[in-house]
Amino acid sequence: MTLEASVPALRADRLGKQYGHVWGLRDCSFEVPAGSVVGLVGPNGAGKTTLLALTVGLLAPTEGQVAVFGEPSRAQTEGTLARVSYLAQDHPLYRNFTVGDMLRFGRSMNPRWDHALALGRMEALGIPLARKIKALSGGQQAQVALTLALAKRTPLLALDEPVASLDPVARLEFMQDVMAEVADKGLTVIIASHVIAELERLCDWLLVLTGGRLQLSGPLDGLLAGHAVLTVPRQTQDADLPGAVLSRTDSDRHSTVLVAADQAHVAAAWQPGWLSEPAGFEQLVLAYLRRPPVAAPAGRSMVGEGTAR
Amino acid sequence: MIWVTWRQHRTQAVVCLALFCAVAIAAVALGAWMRSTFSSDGLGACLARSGGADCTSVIDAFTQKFNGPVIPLGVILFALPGFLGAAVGAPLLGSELERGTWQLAWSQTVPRTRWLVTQLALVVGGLVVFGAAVTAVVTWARGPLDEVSMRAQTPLNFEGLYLTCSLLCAFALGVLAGLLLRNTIGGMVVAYIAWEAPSLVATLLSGPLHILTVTKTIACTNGCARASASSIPPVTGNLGDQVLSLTRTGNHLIVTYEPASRFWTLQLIDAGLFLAVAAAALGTAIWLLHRRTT
Amino acid sequence: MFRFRLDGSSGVPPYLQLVHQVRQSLLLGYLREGDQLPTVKEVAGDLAINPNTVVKAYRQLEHEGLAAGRPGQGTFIIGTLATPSEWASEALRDSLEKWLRDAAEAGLSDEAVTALIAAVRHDIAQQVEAEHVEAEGRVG
Repeated sequence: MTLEASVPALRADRLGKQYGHVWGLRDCSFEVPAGSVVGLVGPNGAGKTTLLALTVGLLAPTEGQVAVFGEPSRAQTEGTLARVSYLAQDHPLYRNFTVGDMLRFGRSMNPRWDHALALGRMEALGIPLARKIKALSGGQQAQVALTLALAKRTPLLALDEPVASLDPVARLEFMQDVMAEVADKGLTVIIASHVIAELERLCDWLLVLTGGRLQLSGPLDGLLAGHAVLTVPRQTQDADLPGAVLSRTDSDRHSTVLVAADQAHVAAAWQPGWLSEPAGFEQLVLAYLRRPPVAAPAGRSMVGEGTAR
Repeated sequence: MIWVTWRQHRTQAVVCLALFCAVAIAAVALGAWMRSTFSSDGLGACLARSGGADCTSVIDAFTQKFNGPVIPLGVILFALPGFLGAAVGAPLLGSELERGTWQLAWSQTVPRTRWLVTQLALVVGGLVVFGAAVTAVVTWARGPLDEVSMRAQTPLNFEGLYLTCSLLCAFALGVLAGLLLRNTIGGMVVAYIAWEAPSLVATLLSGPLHILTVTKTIACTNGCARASASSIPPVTGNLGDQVLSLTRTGNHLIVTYEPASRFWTLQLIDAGLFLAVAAAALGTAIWLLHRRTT
Repeated sequence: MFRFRLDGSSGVPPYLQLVHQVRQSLLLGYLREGDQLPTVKEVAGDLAINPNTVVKAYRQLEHEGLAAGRPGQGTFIIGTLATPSEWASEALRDSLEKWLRDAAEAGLSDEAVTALIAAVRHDIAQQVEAEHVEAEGRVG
C-alpha cells in the first residue's frame, strides 16, 4: 500500500497544552504520512491522551497547532470533529442504551454516517441490536465503540489505549477488525498505548512521548534500520562509537550499547572485537522512553541523525 | 439531536408523566368533592346573590372543611419542583462527566456548546409543559376554594407561574451543579440546597413580608362596631382580600390590607426571581463548558 | 485459502515469516503454480498485522519471481522452488565435508561450528534486510 497522498495525515507544529501551571504537552512537532498506522507510545501521564484530544478537537492548544490532512484542528468546530473518529480510553458508551440505540445515536450526531456498515458489523459479530450495552461483554462493548468510530467514515481514526481492558481473545479480534479496515479503506490510524510489545506488528510509524515531549518520530522500518546494538570492549569511549548513544550497559570487560547508527556507519566504525546486531523494537522504544524529557531535540524524524557526534 | 435528547431523558419523562397522573388523580378527586359540596351547600347561589355578605357561616364552614385536605397537596407541590428540577438537571452534565461519556458525546460531529444548548432547550420545553399541566389541573381543583378564600395567600406556590418557574430554577441549578461537581448525586443535593435560597426569598416576598399592602379609608354604612380584621367577607368588600389591621376613627375605618389583585403581581415578582436565577445558572454553565476547551 | 501464521516471539521480522511460509509450502507442494494467495485485507484481518507488512512480503515474493499480482484479481503463485539438482546437492555436500574436516583440524568444537554457521547466516540476513530497506527508499 504505497503512500499516494502527499498531504500528511497528521502534522503538528510546536504543539503545546498547558493545564494550570503544568504543561501536559510541549513543543511537539512531527509529520505522519497518510495511510500509516501510528503507534503513540509513552508512560501514563506522558501526554498521549492530550495529543489525541487536541487532534480530535476536544481541546484547544495553548500554543502551536495540529493539522489533519492539511486542515488545522480547531476545538469544538464541526469541520474538525467531522474529520477524526475518536475512541476514548475504556470505550465509553451509554450503558442503558441498547445496541440499536447506540447506532441511532451515531446516526443522529453525524451527518456522514454509514449505517449499513454499522449494522453489518453488528450482524457479523453476532451482537443483537436489542441487547443493552451493560449486558455486553467487555470485548463486545469495545467492538460497538469501534463500530461507532468506523461508521463515521473519517479518514483518521484515533484510538486511546483501545485494548488495555480487554482479554487476549477480545484484543486480537479488535485489532483484526482495525487492520482489516485499514487494508480495505486506506485509513490512517493512531493508537496510543503504554504496552509496547503488541505495537510492533500493528504499526508502521512510531511516536514516543515522555513527560509531554516528543522523543522520537519516524517510520518503523527506518528506525529499526537506523539503530544497532553493539557489543564493544569496556574501555570504548562514547565518542568512538558511530552515532548517538541511547543506552549503555557496562560489564567488567565489555559494554552493550544501543546507538543511533545504520549499517553503513556501523561498518565504517567497526573495530575488531565489536559485535553488531540489529536493535529490537522493544529495546529501541524502551531506550527512548528512558531518556529524560528535556534532552529531546524538537525535531521530526530521528532517522538519518545517526552520524557520529 | 432531538432523538438523542429524548432517549437520554426518556426515563425522566416517564416519571414526570407518572407524577402528573398521580397529582391529577388527587386533584380531580379533591376538585370534584369540593364542587359537589359547593353546590350542595348552596354556596354558589349565595355568592351570586349577595357577593358573600350573607354567606359568612357557609363560607366559614366550607373553608374549614377544605383547608385541611389541601395542605398535603400544597406541601408536596412546594417541595416537588426543587427535587424534580435538581433530579433532572444534575445528570444532564453530571452523568456525562462522571462516566466519561462526554468523550463520546462531544467527539461526534455536534460541537459541545450546540449539544448543550439543544439539550437544554428541549428539556426546558418539557419541564414547562409539565409545570403548566400540573398548575392547570391544581388550579381547576382549587377553583371553588379560590373563589371564597383569601386568594392573596396560599395558592401562590401552586397556581399561576410559581410552580413552573420554581421547577426551571431548580433544573438550572442542577445543570450547573452537575457541571461543577462532575457528579450526579452530589449535583442533585447541592442544587436542591441552592434552590432553597431563591425559594425562601420568593416565599418571604409573597408571605410574611407583606410587601404590597394598601391602606384605604372606608366609610362605614351600617355600624363599624362589628367590623374586625377577620370578618368574612372582609370589610374591603372583596372576598380575596387579606386584611392586616383595622383602625376605627369616628365613622370611618382605616384598613391596611393586601388586595386579591396582588396575586398576579406577586406571581410576576416570584417568576422573575426564579427565572433570573435560572438564566444566570444556565448562562454560566454554557460559558464554562465553552471555556473548558481552552 | 492459504492461511498464514505469525510467531511474535521468533525475532524474525513478520514480513520475512510470511515469505518463508510461502517458500516452505512451495517446497512441500502445498502451494502450486496458479494458486491464489489471500488478499492483503484477508491476511491483515486474520493475523492483526499492518497491511504494509503483507504488501512488503508479497513484493518480496514478486521480486524472487515466485508470485505476481494481477490487477483487479489478486496475487498468484507463478513460479516454483526447484528442489536442488542432483549435481548441486553433490557439489555442496563435498565442499561441506571438506570444510568440516578443516574446521576440526583447526580445533573447532561442534558447538563452535554451529555458532559460526548461525553468525554467518545472521550477517547474510542482515545484509539482505539492509539492501531491502534501501530499495524501499524508506530510510528517513
